[in-house]
Amino acid sequence: MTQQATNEATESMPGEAERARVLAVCRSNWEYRGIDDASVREMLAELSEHLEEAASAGRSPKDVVGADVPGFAASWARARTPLRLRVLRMAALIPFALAVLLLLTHLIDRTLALPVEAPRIAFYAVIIAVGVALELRRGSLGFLRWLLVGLIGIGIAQLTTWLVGDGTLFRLPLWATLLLMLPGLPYAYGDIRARKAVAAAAE
Amino acid sequence: MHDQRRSQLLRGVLDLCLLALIGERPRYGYEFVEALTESGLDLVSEGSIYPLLARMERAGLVDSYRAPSAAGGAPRKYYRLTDAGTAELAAGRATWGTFTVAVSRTLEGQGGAQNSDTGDAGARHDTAGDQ
Repeated sequence: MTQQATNEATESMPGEAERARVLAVCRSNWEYRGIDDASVREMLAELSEHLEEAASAGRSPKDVVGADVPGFAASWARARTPLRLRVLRMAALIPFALAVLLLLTHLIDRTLALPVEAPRIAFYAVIIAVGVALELRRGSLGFLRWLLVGLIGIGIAQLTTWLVGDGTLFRLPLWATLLLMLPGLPYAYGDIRARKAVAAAAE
Repeated sequence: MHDQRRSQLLRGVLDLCLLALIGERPRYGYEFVEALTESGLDLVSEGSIYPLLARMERAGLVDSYRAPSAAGGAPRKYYRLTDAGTAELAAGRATWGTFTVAVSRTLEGQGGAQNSDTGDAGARHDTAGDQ
């Protein structure tokens, strides 16, 4: 379900806002818990259909998933995919996502060896920790909330500069950034293929 | 307390109930809830069936396919029994049969003992009254 589709649905049906929130929290939890893209889509479709039928019968999303939505999502994720496979996926995709950010920084700074300083590490650490924690609890944050998380990151980076300075700790060569991407490439490629297959089936 | 006990008991046999319902015919998620409710088995959280179904699918007891529902609309994910699921259901039914007999025997036995105690006490009371 795209953000636009979610918004349209929110406006069109009463109670849809709560259903969209439940689906967003589940999506975030499944993605961050290492469930593959195709499975996330399938689980979301299944849950979405159930929530709609329950709503038609006068039951709330809370009757379906309980009061603890992240707990429900986590329990489904654990049942769906073994921990070993989920850990492997995340171990490959986290460096991949980080490498994409670093690659952008290489391009912006126009350098083959990116200087890495303590404030830069603090900035990324805050963005990842706060962003992931919030998405697990609230679902997709949206642009404005991500912007707020970014501002918090900049604040923490400034604080780190003030505390420990902004001297270069080490230089990250471009080949190391590309190397970080390697383990995640098969997963990213698999997700893109699955997405295309779903789109083709829908047509 | 009564509802909590019912919920705990249902949690212990929910997988077997789901297998039995799929054994009747292939079903999709919401149909399980409807069928359980019709049988007088209300789930505290309806969604608890999905982790169970996923676990059974991983264990090879059920498999799934997408098909349009009888009511129309978008295709839904239906679950059907595999051979392993059929065998598991048969074994589960046998276990449940012997288990319920044992539990009933225990509960009725204790109930009977309690009644006879009460009866004795009543008899003693009557005797005391006579004196």
